[in-house]
Amino acid sequence: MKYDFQNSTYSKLWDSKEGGALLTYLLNDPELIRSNHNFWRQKFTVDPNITPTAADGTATFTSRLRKLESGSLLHMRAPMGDTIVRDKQGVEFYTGIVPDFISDGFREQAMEREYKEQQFVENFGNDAMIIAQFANEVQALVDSADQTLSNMGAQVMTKGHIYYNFGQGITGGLYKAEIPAENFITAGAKVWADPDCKLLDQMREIENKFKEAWGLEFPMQWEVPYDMWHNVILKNNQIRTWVLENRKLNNQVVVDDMVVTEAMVKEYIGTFEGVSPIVVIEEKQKDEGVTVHGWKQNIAVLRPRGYAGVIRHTTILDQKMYQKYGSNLISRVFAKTLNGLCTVENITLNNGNMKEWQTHLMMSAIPSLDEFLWHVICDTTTAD
Amino acid sequence: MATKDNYTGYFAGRTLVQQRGSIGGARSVFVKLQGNKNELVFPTFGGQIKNPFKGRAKLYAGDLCEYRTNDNGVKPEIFILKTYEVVSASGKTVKIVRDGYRHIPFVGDILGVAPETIGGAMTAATVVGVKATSDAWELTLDTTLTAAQGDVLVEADKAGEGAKMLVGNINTVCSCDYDMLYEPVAETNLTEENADYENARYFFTPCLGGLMYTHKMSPIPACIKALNTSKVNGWFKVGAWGNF
Repeated sequence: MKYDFQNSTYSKLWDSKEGGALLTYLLNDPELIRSNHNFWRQKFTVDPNITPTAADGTATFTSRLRKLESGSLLHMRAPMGDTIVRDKQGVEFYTGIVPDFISDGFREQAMEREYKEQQFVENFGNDAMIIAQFANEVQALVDSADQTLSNMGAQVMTKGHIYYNFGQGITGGLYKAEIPAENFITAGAKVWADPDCKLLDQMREIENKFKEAWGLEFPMQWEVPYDMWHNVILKNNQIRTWVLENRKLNNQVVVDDMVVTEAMVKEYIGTFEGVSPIVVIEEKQKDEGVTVHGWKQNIAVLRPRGYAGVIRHTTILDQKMYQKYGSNLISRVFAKTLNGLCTVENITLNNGNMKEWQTHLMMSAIPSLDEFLWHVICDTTTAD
Repeated sequence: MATKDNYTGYFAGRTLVQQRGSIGGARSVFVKLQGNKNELVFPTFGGQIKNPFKGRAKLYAGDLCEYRTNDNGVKPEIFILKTYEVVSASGKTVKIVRDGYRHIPFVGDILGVAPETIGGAMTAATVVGVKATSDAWELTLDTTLTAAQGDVLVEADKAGEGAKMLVGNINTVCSCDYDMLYEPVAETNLTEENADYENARYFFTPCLGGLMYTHKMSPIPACIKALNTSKVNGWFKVGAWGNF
């Protein structure tokens, strides 16, 4: 039986009636579309609320924290003696905006589709391979969105702001989180890569300094990038000595010049009192073929354990406009993916005497740093 | 307690302030033609307005813009064509038309009479004072500007002689009015080290096509009229669609 391309599953992905549900199903099937860049999922959850877009074009979110300060010792008094007043504590906040992003797009006109049909369908008799190829193309778009969120999340965690100068579109600063100036610190007595750096002592000193300043203790963790972990921390003399001495105490094998591995450090770091666990951050993205990091590579972050914030998101004006006022000569199918953060649009329009099909992904989302008062950014390459 | 942008806060008294205007009314600028058109086509990415008004102001439907890309056709920036029609000029004082449908001038604007051709030399002066009267803006400039009634002032890339128009080309149109309600950043090309996050940056996407009645648009200098692709007297077209 000759295969009928016009009634194929692939064609239906652009159909104005069935396409929405079918595209949504495909985009959210983890067997077809994978999550390849997961840094942002480790550090941020998706805001369950939509950040509204106001008529003046702003999509403004607010991140707020109560400043927690410990009280002071009591004042001894004589009976009937009154007291002095205490300054009231405020709620620290900052606002940021949700920008708009778009992926590369795909475009196929009728002659190109005929060429594809002849190649795939006549050989295979069904459109499974075409769907697989489409899924691969959409995978690239979803990867772009994942990478964008990961890059921005890593930026705000290590710089306190997001400056977007990637891609081929608009560039510039997006927002700055209200991390207190005193939370931006230097490495300590020595830069961390210095062979004589007592790294564990310096890390403990930093933690003690903030515990004293805040008057409070939270479960904290250090977060360091992959290269710093392997090239600085695992090779640090104090850490090596600490790990190897502990191995000897525990009757484990120690040989001269043995490599200290991640597992060994994690096993014994907890026994060095006063230093919180160290988490290794693996994140990188591709920008037009060049590898980039949102995480500033000389930065170690000390922050409360748990999520750093949420992904704020707003509605996409294009979808609203086209659904309300779109020309009926152009058919559009919208479907959400990535926990509702992204919208893939399949468009069918005329090109001369024939049709043309287009696909692209849009996202209006940004990570917000929501533990900003307790977030410490340490420049490990500059000594005090 | 007031916040950094001073748009939220509390005043334990009574503040008297008023707004007025009309909503919904419009002066139609686009030519009405029956048949399918190709005006509402949006170029790639849109862009940031690189020459925003220096305060609260408005762009109008039919206003002309330059969608400026690099040699690869990407990394777009938007430059809006701001124009001001001269009523009279004397020494360092220039009066321009104010009727509610015109662009608003601001202190700090660098303006001059539009050259005969885009890219031609012009002389520009910096606006150091703006006063509103019932039907005109009275501008005080830092140097004398020679201008006659009916001349159109445009933004220049620098003050003094040998300046050039800031807008180098016209290839897009505002499809509707845009209200800019916030103080913009003072400088639109800030690097990451000195980025300004608190003042407004405006991103929008003008359309690649438009067919407008010339007399209903913001005033157009002769060098911009020369870019008109319409063959009909009194119409101004942006884009290559349609043979009219």
